[in-house]
Amino acid sequence: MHIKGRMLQLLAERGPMWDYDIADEVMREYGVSGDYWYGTVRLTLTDLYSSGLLDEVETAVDPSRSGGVEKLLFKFTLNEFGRSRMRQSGLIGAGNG
Amino acid sequence: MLDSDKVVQLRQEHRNRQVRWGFIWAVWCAVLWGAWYVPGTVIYSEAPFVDLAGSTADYLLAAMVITTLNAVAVLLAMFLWVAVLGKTGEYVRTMRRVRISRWYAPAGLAGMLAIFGSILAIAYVGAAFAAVAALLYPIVGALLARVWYHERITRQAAVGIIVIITGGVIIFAPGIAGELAGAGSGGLLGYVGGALAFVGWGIEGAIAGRALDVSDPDVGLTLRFTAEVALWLVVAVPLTAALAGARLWEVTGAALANPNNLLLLVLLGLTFGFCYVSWYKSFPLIGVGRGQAIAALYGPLALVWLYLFTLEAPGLQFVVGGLIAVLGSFILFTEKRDVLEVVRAVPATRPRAATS
Repeated sequence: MHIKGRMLQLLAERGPMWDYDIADEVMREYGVSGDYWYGTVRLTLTDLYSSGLLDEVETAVDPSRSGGVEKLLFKFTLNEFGRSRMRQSGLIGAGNG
Repeated sequence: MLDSDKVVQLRQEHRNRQVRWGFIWAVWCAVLWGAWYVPGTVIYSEAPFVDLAGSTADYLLAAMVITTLNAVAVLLAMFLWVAVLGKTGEYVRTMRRVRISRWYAPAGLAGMLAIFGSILAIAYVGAAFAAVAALLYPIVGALLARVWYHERITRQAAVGIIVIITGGVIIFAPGIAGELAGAGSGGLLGYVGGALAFVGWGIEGAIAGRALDVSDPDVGLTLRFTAEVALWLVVAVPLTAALAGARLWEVTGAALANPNNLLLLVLLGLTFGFCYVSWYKSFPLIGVGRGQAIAALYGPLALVWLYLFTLEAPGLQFVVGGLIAVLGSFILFTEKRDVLEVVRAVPATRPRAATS
């Protein structure tokens, strides 16, 4: 499974998740580490959100989780549109197209 | 618990950054796309292409060989890019998800026809015509994205798209009028090429926007060029070989034997490859309609690049049209951020996020 697909699956399986938890899980599963991959996961989440597949459920600021910098942390949930795109592309269940 | 003002401010900064990067990628695309017309034009003055102007069959053969080599050059540039990003594994994993990767085949086909059309239009009518003909593509892309997956095209965005295109048309109108008058009877194929360019790129953008929902832009673009190269090798090359016979191999061999062509191919691959990467990266962030419209600034930029390399001064219409196109991009850029935050009108309701 590619990373973007796996991120959608994580959100589908586990429900709403914080971005840093998604990043930790993805980095663990794919055996990668460092700021670059952390940033890549966060960027991918931003692009899933702006494409309308995810909804924001909660935000927080916790510098200890974002390298000492004050950054907004997001908790995302997969919405119905995201679920239907996953079905259409064979990432969950059956579906057409 | 945090001060909610702080969160509001950070959220705004985050969304501004998201939108700004969407526009930055689209502008990069425009700069590199404009630059692509320089090697794309110069290659016609190199052997063997310089001698392939005798007949329609010669023109088509030259365009076919150049477009195929261009696709291979871009794919090699993309393999390098994906490797540098550490995403080669992702490329293989995404390709295996056939229900996702298969969408890049029609995107590649549409894009392949657009590039072939542009190359044909450059040869038949001229680089300026090829560039302006393709300027119409955001209309096709924005319309398809709206009808197909409900991308939000606000009134302001529609006005911005139209203003940019008007600017582009003003820049090139006198040149086109001249080319229309001077092209003679053989120009028709060039205009068909121009039409292929804007329809093809519009369709490609709309399909890519869909596939990018569930895949990474860098990897997606590499898959799209993999599809294009495969289409050339499996369909177009055998077809051309059947029609043109040994001449295809002679021209390809002669093209690769000329070291200047190899340099030009490197330039074609780098400019077009990274223009395309930037294009795909902007789509998820600001939408296909806006990404394409900003990237249409390649029109005025192509003239700047062509001027820098040929030192033929552009006319007054360039200044006027260029300013109008830039005005149009500002109309798009100053759109309210909350409209841009989520580029689609998705069916589900979107509750405002709670703050902790």
